[in-house]
Amino acid sequence: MLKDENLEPKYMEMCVSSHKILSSYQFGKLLNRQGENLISQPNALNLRTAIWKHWLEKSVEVLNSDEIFKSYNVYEKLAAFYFTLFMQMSEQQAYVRLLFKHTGLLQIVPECLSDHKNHFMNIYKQIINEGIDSGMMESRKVIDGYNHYLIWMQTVYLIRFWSADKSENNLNTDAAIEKTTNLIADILGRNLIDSGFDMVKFLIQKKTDERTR
Amino acid sequence: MKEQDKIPTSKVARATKFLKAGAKVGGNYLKHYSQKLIGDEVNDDDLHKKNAAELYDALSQLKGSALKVAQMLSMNEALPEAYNEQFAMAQFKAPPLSLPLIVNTFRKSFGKSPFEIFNEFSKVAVNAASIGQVHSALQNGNKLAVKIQYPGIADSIKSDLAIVKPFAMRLFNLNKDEVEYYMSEVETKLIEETDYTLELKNAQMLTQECKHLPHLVFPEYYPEFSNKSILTMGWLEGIPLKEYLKTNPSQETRNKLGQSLWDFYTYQIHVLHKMHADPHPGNFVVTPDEQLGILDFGCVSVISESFYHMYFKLIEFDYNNLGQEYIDLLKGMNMILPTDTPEVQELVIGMMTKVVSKVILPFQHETFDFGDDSFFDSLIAQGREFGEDKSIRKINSARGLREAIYVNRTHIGLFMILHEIRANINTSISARLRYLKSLN
Repeated sequence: MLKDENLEPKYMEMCVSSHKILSSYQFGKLLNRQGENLISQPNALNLRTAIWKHWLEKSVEVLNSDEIFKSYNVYEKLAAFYFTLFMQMSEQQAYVRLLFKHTGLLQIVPECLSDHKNHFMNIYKQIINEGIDSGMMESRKVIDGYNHYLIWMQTVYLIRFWSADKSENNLNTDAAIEKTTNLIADILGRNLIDSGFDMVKFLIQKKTDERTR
Repeated sequence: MKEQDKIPTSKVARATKFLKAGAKVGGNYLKHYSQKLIGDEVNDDDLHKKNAAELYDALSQLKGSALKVAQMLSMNEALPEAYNEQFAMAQFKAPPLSLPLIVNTFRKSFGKSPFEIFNEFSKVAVNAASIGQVHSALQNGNKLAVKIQYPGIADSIKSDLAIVKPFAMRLFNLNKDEVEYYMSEVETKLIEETDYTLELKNAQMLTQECKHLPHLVFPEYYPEFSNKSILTMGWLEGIPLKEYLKTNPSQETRNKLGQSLWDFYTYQIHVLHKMHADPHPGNFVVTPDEQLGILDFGCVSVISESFYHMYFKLIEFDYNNLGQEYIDLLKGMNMILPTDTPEVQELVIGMMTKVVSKVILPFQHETFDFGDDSFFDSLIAQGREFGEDKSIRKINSARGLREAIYVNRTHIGLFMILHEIRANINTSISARLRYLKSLN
C-alpha cells in the first residue's frame, strides 16, 4: 500500500507521464491500474497544496539553518530564497511546467498558485519588515501592499521562467533571479519616486502656508 | 571624444542604439545628397568619415561582445586612434554578482558553499574578469583566486553577435557569406572563453610547456575546485603591468620583462603552434621579484601547420625584390582572389607589401627597440595613407584566411604591450628558439 508521504512524488510523476495535471479521479484510476490498494480516493487538490507547502517549508528550513543567510542584506535574502526554492523544486521542473501550461502570461495570480499565495506572502512579510527596519526598503503607506505585490509578481515570473528554462544547470534562471532582484531593490529602496513625492509635498505645504498666512 | 555615461544592457537597448546609429547614417546620406542637389560643394570623404564616426560611436557604447568583434575584425589599424584605448578596454560590463548567486553556483557545482569548501572566502569580489568576477580564498595556507562566471553569458554573446552581423557587413563592406566566414571563427572563440573547463585545460597545458622559460610565473590551477563556470587558481602576488610601468622601472627591468614576454610568445607560436591569443596588459602582472605573471588563458588559439608556413614565409622575402613566389603566397593566403582584375591584384600587392614590409621589421633584426616611436608612427601613417587613398575602395571583397584574425591580433597586442613597456630586446626568432629550447 502506498504511504501518504509517497503520494506526492507519485502524483507528480504520473502527471508528467500523462502530460497533464490529473484530477483526483484520474489519479485514483491510474493508481488502481498499477495495482495500488487505496483505502480512499486521493484528493488531487490537497496533494497539489501539500506539494507547494512542502517546498516552501523546506526552503525556509534550509535558509534558517544557513549561517551565511543570516549575514545577508534583505535583497540578498530574497535572492537566496529563490535559489533555495528552485533547488528544492529541481527534480520537478516538468511538473511545474504542466501547472503553468494553461496560465496566461499576464495572469497575476495564476490558478495553480492562487491557493498558496498566502504562504508566499508570509515569507515576504518577514523580508519586507526587515527591509523597512534596516532602511533598505521604503515604507510607502500610500500604496498599500505595494511591496508584497511587486515581490509576488517577481515570484510568479521566476517560477514560470524556471519551469520553462532549458539552459544548462538553469543558468538563465540564475541570471533572471539576479536581474529581477536588482530591479526590485531599485524600486523598493528609496528612489526617484520618494524624492519626487517629498518635493511635491514640500511645495504644497509652502503653498498652503502662504495662503493661511 | 564624447564621454560615455551609460552602457545599454538589454538586447532591446542595444538594438535601439544600433537603430539610432543607422538612422544617423541614413540622415547623413540624406543631408549629403540634398546638399549635392542644391549644388553645394561636398566631399564624399566627409560623408564616409561622418558615417564611420556614428557607427564607431554606437559600437563603443555597446562594449561587450560588440566591441570585441569590432576589435577583432578591424584589427585595430582601421580604427580611428582615439577609439583605440576604449577598444582595448572592451569588456563585458555587468553589475557584480550577488553573494547568494555565488553560493548557489558553488552548491550546484560542488554541493557545498564556498565557505564550507575554503578556509576563507571573500564575500565581495576583489576584481572583475572579462566575463565574470574574481574572489579571493584561503585554503591550507595558500591564497587562491576564484573566478566565477556571469550566468547566461554564452547566450548573451550569441544574441550580441546576431545584432552585430548586419553592422559588420556595412562597416567593413562585407557580404553575408563573408561576414559568416569570419564571425563563425569569432563566435566559436568567444563561446570557448565561456567554458572554464577548457580554460583550465589550456592553462595547465601551456603552463607545463612554458614553465622553463626565464622570468615567467604561472599560477597553480586547482581542478578540484573548478568546473564550467568556476575556475580556481593560485593567487599571483603582483601589480598589474600597466600600474607597474607607472612606477618608472629601470630600462634593464623593462628589457627583462619585455624579453620574457617576447620569448613566451615566440615559444608558443613557433614551437607549440598554440598561443595565449589575448595579449592585453590586464592579463599580466609583475611580481615583487620582478617576474612576469601570466593570467587568463580564456582565449587559446591553435595555428595549423599550413597556415603557420604561409604566414611566417612573409618574413623571409626581400621586399625590394619580390617575384612570383610572393604573389603565389598571397593567393594561397586568400589575399589575392581568382576573381580579381589585374588592377585590383596590383593594388592588393602594393598594399600588402607596404604593410608587411613595415610590420616584420622586428623579426628581421637581431635586436629591436620597441620604445622607438618611429616604428609605430610609420604604421599609423601607413594606415592614414590607406584611409585617404580612394583607389583602395575598389578592393571591395573580404580577404585573408580567418585563422589570421587571432594571429594578427596576438602580434598587434604583443607589439603594443612591448611598446608600452618600451623594451629593447633580442627579437631573432632562430636565436631565441635555440636558447629557449636549450633550457628545457
